[in-house]
Amino acid sequence: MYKRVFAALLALMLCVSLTGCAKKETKSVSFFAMDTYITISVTCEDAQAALDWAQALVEANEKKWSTTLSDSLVSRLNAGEKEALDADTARLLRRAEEMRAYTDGAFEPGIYPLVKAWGFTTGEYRVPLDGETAELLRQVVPDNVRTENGETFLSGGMIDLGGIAKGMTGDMLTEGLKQRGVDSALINLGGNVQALGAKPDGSAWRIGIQSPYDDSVMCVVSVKNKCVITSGAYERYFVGEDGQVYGHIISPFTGRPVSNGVASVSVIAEEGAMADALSTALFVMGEQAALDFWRAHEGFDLVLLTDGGTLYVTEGIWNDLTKRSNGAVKQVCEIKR
Amino acid sequence: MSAKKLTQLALLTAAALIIHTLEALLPALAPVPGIKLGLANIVTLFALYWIGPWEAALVTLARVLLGGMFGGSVSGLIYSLAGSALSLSVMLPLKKIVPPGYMFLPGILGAAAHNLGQILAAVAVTRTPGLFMYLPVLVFSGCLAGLFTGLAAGALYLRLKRKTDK
Amino acid sequence: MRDKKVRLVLAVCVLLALVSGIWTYLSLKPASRDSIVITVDGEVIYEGSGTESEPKRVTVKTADGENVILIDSIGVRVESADCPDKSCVRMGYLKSANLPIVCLPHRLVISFGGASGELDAVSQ
Repeated sequence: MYKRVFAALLALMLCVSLTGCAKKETKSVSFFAMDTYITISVTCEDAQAALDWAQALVEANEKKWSTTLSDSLVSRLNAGEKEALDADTARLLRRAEEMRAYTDGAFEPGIYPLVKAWGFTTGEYRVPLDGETAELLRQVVPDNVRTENGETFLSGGMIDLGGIAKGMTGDMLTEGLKQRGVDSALINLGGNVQALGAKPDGSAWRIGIQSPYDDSVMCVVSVKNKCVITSGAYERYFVGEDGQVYGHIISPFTGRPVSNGVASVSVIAEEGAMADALSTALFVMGEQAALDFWRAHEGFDLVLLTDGGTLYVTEGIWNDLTKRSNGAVKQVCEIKR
Repeated sequence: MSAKKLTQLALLTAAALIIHTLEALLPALAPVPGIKLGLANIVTLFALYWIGPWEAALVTLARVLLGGMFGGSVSGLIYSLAGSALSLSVMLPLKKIVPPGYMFLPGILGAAAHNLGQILAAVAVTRTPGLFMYLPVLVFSGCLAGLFTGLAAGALYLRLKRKTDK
Repeated sequence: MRDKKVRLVLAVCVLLALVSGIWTYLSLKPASRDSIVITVDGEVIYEGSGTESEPKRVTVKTADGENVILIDSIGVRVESADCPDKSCVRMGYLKSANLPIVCLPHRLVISFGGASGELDAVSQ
C-alpha cells in the first residue's frame, strides 16, 4: 500500500517539475533621464528584458523631446527647421494640441519663449520687466504645428513639451509593457507616478502625494491602472531680488509664474499624457476654475491643496484616499459633482 | 428539577461568581486584553464531571450573565459569552473520552477555545482583523491557565469522590 | 480503547501548547516605528509617524468614552483612557508589529503601519 502512495507522490512531483511553470519575478531599475530621477518596477517572466526596453525607450524619448538638448527634434523645430516626424512624436504633438484645446489654453505648449525668458531653461533666472512680458506673450503662438509634404515645422513661436512628455512616455511604457505580457508595473518618472494593473499580490498601489512644503506625505491614494501626477511651483523656483518666489509654471494668460493660492494639484487618471497636461493646466486655472473644470468634465479626479491649507478631493477618489497627519493640511473637503 | 439539584446548581453558580469577582480584583497578568486565569472555569469543569453537561452549561451561562451584570461591563458580555460557548462546545464532548483523572486535558483545550472565542468576538465587534495577531499569545496562555484550572478541578473532583464514596 | 483516545487528546494538547508557544515567541519581534495607524470600529481615524520630536497628543472620543494617545520621541502609547480596565494604558509603548494596543470597550486599535505604512511611490 505504501509503495503505491510513494509511487503516486513521485509521479506527481515529476509532473509538477516538468510543467516548469515559468516564474514571474519582480525587478526594478533606476536611472537619471529627462532631467530627473526615474524608477521603473515590473513583475513578469523576463523582467530584465522588459526593464532594458523601458529604459531605452525613456532615453530615446528624451533625445527627441528635450528642449534643453540642442540637437533634439524639438530643439530643431524651435530653431525653425523642418523635420520628418516619427510616429511617437507626431502622437505627442497631436495630444499636446488636443490638451491645449481641452483646457482652453491653460495648458500651452507654446509657452517656451516665456520659460526661456525667465531663465528656467538655463538656470540663469531673471524677472522680465512688464513691457517685456507683453512682448513675450505675443511670442506665444498657440496651435503652431504645421505639416506639409510629410515634413513638420512651426508656424511661429516655439514649443515646450515638458508639461506632457513624461506623461506620454509613461503611456508608451504601459502600452509596451502590456504587449510584453506584463500586468503589474510601477513607473515613477521623477514624481509622475503611473501604475500598470495592481501590485503583484493583487492589491492596489499605494501612492503618496507629497506636501509642497517639505518631504512629508499629505495623503495616500490607492489605485490600480491609474497615474497620479502632481504640479506645483515648489518643484522648481527661484527667489527674485525683490524677495518674491517665482515658480516654473508660467501662466499663458498673464505671462508670469502662477501665484493664485494653489499650492499643488494632483490629477488621477488612466492616461498619463492627459494627467500630466491637466495638472499643469489646473494649477494655472486656480482653485475655483479648476474645481469648475472638474465638474464640467469626466475621466479624471483631482486633489488640490490651497495655500490656506484646504485639501480638495473629488468624489471619484475620495474613498481611496487616506489623509496623513500633516501640518500643511488644515481641512479636507470632498467635492461632488 | 428536584430541589436538591436546584440547590446544587445554585451553590455552584455562587461559587463560580465569587471566584470570578475575586479574580477580577487581581491586577492583570499582562497588558494584553483577555489574559486572565479563568479560575471560575474550575467550577464549570467540576460540574461537567460531577453532574453533567447540561448542568455545567447552565451554571456557566448563569455565572457569565450575572458576572457581567454585577461587574458593570455589559459590553464585555459578548466576549465572555462567545468564549464560554466555544469552550463548552470543546469540553463537553471531551468528557466522554477523558476520565476524571485527566481533567487537565479538557481544561487546556477548553481554556484555549475560550480565548479563541473571545478573539473571534472581538474581531467581529471592532472590525479589526488585526486583532488576530493576539491569537498565539492568548492560545498559549490559555493552555497554561487551562492546565492549572484543569488540575485544580480534577483534584477537587477526586477529593470529593473519595469523601462521598466512603 | 479509552486509553488510546486519552493519549490522542494529550498529544493534541501538547502540540497546541508547543505551537502556540513558539508562535508567540516569534510574533513578539519589535518592529520599525515608521508609521502607525489608529482605528475605531475598523475605520482609520489617524495615520502618521510612530515617533514625533515634539510630543503629540491624539484624543479619540467615541460614543463609549475617550482615549488620549501620546506620540513622542520614544513611540506611541495610550496616556489615559476612561474605560473600566485600562489595559490599553498598561500596555505601554507599542512595541511589536504583531500585538497592537487595543481598547476593547472603545473598539480602538493602535498598530504599526501595516497595510498603511509602506508607500509604493510618492507623486510630487
